[in-house]
Amino acid sequence: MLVLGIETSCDETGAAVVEDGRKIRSNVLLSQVEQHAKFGGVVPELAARSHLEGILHVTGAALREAGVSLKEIGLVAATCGPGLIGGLLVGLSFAKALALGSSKPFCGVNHLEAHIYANFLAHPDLAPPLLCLTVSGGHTDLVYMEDHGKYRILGRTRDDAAGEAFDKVARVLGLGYPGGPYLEKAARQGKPGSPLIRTDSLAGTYDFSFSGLKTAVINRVHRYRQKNQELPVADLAATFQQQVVTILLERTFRAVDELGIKTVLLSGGVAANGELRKGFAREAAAREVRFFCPPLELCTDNAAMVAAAGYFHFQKSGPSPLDLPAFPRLSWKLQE
Amino acid sequence: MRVLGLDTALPFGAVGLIDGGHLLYEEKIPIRPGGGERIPALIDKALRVVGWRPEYLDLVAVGRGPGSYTGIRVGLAIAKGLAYSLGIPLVGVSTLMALAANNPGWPGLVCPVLDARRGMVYTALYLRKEQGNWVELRPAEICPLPELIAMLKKEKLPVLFLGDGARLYREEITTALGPAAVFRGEGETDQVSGGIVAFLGLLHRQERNEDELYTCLPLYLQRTEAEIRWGKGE
Ligand SMILES: [Zn+2]
Repeated sequence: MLVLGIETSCDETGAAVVEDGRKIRSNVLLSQVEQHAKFGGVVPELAARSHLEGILHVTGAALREAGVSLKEIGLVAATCGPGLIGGLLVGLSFAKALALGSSKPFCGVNHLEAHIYANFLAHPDLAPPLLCLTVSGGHTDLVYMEDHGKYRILGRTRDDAAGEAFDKVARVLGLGYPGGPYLEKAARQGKPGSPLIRTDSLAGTYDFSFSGLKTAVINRVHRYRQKNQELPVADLAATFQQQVVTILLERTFRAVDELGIKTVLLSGGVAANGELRKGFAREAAAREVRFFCPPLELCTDNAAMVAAAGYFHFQKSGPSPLDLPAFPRLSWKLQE
Repeated sequence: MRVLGLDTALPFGAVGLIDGGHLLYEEKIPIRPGGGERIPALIDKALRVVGWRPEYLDLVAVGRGPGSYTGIRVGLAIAKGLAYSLGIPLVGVSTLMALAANNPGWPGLVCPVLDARRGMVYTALYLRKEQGNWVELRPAEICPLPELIAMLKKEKLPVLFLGDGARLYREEITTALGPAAVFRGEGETDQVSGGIVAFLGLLHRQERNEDELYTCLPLYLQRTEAEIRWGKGE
């Protein structure tokens, strides 16, 4: 079955055609990163405007690149949450109308679930049960996937998402936007120093908190500025990155040990971070656990992962109703 | 020509189906801010009631606003998805003109006024001729209320006011224009009819023969907060 996927939850307008939930036939992305860069973060109204302007073009391109017409598509899947409401509504409304006009079934997809399925596209023999850490500018979620459509959230961030913290710290340090890649690059030139905060207030839970770390960096920057000292940008970047990675690894691999996990995944935009990937590979190898993470182009938001998740969801639960709303703060309950 | 008309710019979403000059189906539903999710299901229902398969449609007409940005985008996204998948043309219609056209039996000036907050209004001015067609005297714009009132003081004919802004500023408008300002009862006059959007779309298509599938965008009429701040260099 060919699935047309549509993604508009944040700042990437995406359309893709995926075969049987595993094989990418096309994966088209119109990034708005440059548009938002001057504002130092995603501006929801601008994002929604751009999604509407781009959606037909990316959809046409995805079908063309896949060499198929809408007639050959078996299912139209679109992200219905979580994400920015304005953007979500554009993709969701467009996808429903496409399905209605072409008399195809429609399926709403949980964006977090889609991030997990990015791994299924890259690794054809991958199957649940598994543990997945999804880290991006919008989320930090540690999820146990028992089977297709069966999830348990073990932990999530109580404040900033990991990627969000990267962006904000990068901004404070005067690096570029989006912050992740720039911070990582700066960190390579520096040495991680002493811990930014002494105690892990959420120790023993699977939840995350990054605002304390972020504030600690900001405070240090202020102290350097007050004393008119040169800012050790690279060292601060390295220190911050190391501590974020340490927390992510601690939560994930404690869950691996406690739940007897055999397969662990990384997904989301921050999964592109080299230090995090290295850390995961190292910890997984030490436990003889299988570790997968998507190629870089499938880490960021994209529509292929939405099509894949839509396929598996449709196999299990059938189509979604045409009056399905958008869920800006969607929990995993939708899929149960 | 079988035309689907839809508008989601205002707190009531409207869907209508016409066949040539005949209205076949019309329905309105309240849409909450950030909603509009029921519109595709409503279109599905309208088609079933009339007994049309989606492929029977020849044209999609959609309200471009002004109004709720999110609402307008929902309508346009639906219209684009339908027109694209059916391989039929799309035309955009001014929501203000659709509001004005929803008042048959008023030959003269019609001024829809929508509240755009902070003392600003979305407005336009239309003249309904005796043959029933419309002339747009002033296109849709956003302006402060006093500016609108000053402009209307120069008109010699009575003006019919419509829309939530007309109700909100009824006192100010009446004080300035006296008996030349005419208001109707609440409710119906503040709502767009899907059938009228379809009729206006059909007229538009017959006049210009353009397909706006790729070019039709919302009538935002103002820049975003972020753009304004950026423009000021803040
Ligand atoms: Zn994401």
